[in-house]
Amino acid sequence: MSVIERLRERPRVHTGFAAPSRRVPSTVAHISGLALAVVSPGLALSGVIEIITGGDGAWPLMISAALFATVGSIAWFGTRLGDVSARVVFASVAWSWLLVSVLGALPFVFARTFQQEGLNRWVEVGDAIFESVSGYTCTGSTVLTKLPDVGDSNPEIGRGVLFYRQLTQWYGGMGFVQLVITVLPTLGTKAMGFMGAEAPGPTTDRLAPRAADTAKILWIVYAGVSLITALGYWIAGMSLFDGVNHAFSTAATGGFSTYNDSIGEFDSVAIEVVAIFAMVVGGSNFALHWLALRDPVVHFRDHEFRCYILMLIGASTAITLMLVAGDEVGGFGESLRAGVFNAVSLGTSTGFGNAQGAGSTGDFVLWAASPLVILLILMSVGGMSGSTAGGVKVIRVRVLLGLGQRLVFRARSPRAVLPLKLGGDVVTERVINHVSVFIMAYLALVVGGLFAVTALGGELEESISAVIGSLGNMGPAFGDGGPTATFQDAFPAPARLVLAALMLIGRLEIFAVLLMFAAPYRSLAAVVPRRRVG
Amino acid sequence: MVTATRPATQRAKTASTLPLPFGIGLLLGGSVAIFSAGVGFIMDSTGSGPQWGSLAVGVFAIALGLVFTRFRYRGRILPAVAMSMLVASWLGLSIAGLLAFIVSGEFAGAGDALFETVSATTTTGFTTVSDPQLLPPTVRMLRVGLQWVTGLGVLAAGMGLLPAAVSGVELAPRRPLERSKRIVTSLGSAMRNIVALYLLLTTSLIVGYWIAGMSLFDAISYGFSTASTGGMANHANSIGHFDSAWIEYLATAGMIAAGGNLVVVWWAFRGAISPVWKSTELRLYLSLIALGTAIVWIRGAGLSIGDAAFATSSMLSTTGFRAANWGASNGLVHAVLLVGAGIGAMSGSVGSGFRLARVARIALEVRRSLRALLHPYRVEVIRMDGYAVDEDSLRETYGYLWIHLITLTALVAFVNAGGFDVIGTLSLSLSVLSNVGIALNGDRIDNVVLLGGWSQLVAAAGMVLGRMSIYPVLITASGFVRWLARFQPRRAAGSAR
Repeated sequence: MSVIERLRERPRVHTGFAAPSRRVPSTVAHISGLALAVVSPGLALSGVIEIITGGDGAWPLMISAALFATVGSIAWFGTRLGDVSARVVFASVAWSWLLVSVLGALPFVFARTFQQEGLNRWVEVGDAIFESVSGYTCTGSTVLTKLPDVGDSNPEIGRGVLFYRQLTQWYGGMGFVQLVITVLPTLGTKAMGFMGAEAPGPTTDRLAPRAADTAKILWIVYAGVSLITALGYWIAGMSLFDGVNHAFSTAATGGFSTYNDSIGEFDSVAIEVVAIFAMVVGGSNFALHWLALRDPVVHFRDHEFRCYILMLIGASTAITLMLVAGDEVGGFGESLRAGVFNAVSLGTSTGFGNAQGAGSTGDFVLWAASPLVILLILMSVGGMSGSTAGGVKVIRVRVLLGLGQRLVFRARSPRAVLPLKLGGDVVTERVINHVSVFIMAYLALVVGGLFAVTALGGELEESISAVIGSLGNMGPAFGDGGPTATFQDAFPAPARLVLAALMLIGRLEIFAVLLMFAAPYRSLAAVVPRRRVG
Repeated sequence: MVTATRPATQRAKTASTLPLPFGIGLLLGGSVAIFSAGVGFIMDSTGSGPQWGSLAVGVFAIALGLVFTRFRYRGRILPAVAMSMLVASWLGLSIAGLLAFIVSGEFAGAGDALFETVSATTTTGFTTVSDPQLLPPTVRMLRVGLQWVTGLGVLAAGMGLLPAAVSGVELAPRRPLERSKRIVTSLGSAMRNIVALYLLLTTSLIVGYWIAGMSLFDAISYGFSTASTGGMANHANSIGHFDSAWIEYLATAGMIAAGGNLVVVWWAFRGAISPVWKSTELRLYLSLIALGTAIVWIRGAGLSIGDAAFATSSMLSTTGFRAANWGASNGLVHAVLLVGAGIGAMSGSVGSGFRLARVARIALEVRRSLRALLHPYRVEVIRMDGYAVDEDSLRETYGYLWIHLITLTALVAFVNAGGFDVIGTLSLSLSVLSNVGIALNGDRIDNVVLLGGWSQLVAAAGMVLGRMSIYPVLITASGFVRWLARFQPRRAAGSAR
């Protein structure tokens, strides 16, 4: 019996009323295929924009769209859902992400976006993968040195390609697997597992009885936030194209911009204020935004949101005061502008910069150590769970603080029963364990990543900030990788690939990536002929 | 005499447990002051140095200490109270040291004197003195003497003097000592063996340094400083001043021994090599030293293998001596050495830091959790040194990790170190919390940190927290403000009903 026949023979998991089929059961291939397919319309749209604006990157985008659609459809229609145990669910999500974000580099490769005088072809491909992974994981670190300035009449990169680059973040922000769930009716009760595997944070909010409806609601809210942000940018003075592009990046807390100097290119307080509000919204739980339609003050009833806002206000104030005290960027107004924007940008894991070129007030790499240290702490913490932000997440840090407090109480009263309460709700021991293990693994990854990146030639300051930034999907680093520079200046090519891997691990919150290799192996092992005992 | 009934002990506990350890601290500090004064009298023929002041402080501290030690407590000692006792004894020692430093008149203000005292009584080794050779011999001896006495106190507290204090804090590994390898059967013999071992280590180092070419005064100073993993030096260039390979090798060996678990050293000394080799922590310690040395040697800018071993053991044992400058090396060398400093020495040693035993436990826990993802119903016991580790004690280790992390983050945020870049601030905070005493400043490494008033206090507090493994300080502070009164188990049970 061949392996394919064996695969077909495997017991079927009934997840609905679908008719029996002869498709090969493979959850990983099924979900990954559909994920590729849902990204292809975005690629096609970018191609259309490239054609309309007269760029020369239309065919790479169109070919990529066709490739995504074909490969995705084959994988989708050729397979059906198989094992949907937790580990396979995690593995499917991780494989979808790996495939989409690595294959997402194809348009850049075809369009030679990263071509440079004297640059090795393989390094160019590596850079394309880095950019794509950075986009889909909403990190926003870039190696693109050819971005235009405002009013550049003859940009080196077509508008369609730039649009696709921004769109990658939008897909990754809420997660394309979540998008898959909205169109996949056969998942049934397992859909929540897929959402949990992709969504940031230790828990997933259920907004409707059916998980698919929850996913739909979240995507609708996400699209709504993006739309309002785009309008806000437009009203504040951006062109419609720029507004939409930056809205993709802001709602997804990604951080890519279509310009060299990011938001700083516009040098407009109004645009920065819109960006600050939108980043705060993007970094908070989207389920709360939905609930706020019925209960306008629901945000402030949420303990995590209160901590998140307090963190942002505290950090902004501290940085502003430090900048004023150190006379770093000029008067109070400039300090406030630079302090609040950068605190929010890094505290929500967005990574926009408001520096108008290297050495200007918003270029935080030139600040003294104290405000930078606050930024580094913000980069580690990240946004709320259930948001599009990265990092450890506010809720986990809050649980950690609660645990620390509890340990001191326990040392004084060893037999006391001390449930950990956040905002009146008891945190279960299971969640506490999950958080503990997550942070331990996170720490191990920071140290391991730091060794890897420095061993490959990174300097310590750049490496430590980039490793924390990549794991937390932030964007800029310190030193030579700052907001007005690219990672091409700061890290050698192999180190950039390590950082890309860290971005993916960070976006999927570590465990999914670890399971992606183990689970398919175990599925295969189940069908490969074995010698029976006796 | 108080009877050992429960109400009586509870009534008496806050009133009378603390004077005894406080008095012991004063006695130790006073002895160091008198010893330093003696050294000053021998070395300073003019007789007008700070030795008279030091003598006076020593006599005063001993007299006061004798008064305090008359208050004996004979009831049951709860773990939290034992921790407070630890803090009280440290306070006694530090107050005596602080008085001696202030009386010497060598420090610009009380802030500098306090920083120097805390740095000495936490075996850290940071200093505000840019050229210690200009200090009178009395003050130089006072700095290293306080470190040495602190080292002794740390060992005593960790090994058995305050057994209750170590519950949950894991100052010493219980397990490998439990069975045949137990170092002692009673408190008295524990103290005797510990003091003997510590004295033996110190004496061997002093004799070694002397033979290797140091003057007797320097040999004693550096011997004290090495054995206690303190790192205070008599010269601006630390061990590098002597420019002698043999002194460097000796210091490396001394630092490795001082950063090792003293019980392991004891059994190794007794020839029980094979049981000692079963210690997970020892293997980790030696592997990390070997690995760190290899990396620093290969990637360090112009560092010999001796320099690499010296730098690695200086950071991992949290001593903080300097020989060759590794600050000019690349990012990997910095990362390896700073992470080494963060990890720190073995538990049950004089060294400080997060401790290798905890790192080993956390690594094993992460491995177990990853396996549990694949096999959700698997039951796995974490084993160290061949014995299963108790789950409660594991949870306390994770708890300690959180508290350590939170403290480190707070330090990083609040040590507003002027003149340091981001990496400098990170390395300073790490070094303060691990009691290492070396900060990376640009492409230099330095023991001298000139911080402003506020930052100096934060750094001093960080050193105390690091040296005491954080809990005792927090618990003592919380005991003072009665902040925890509402979390008493009695009331929790009542409200549940």
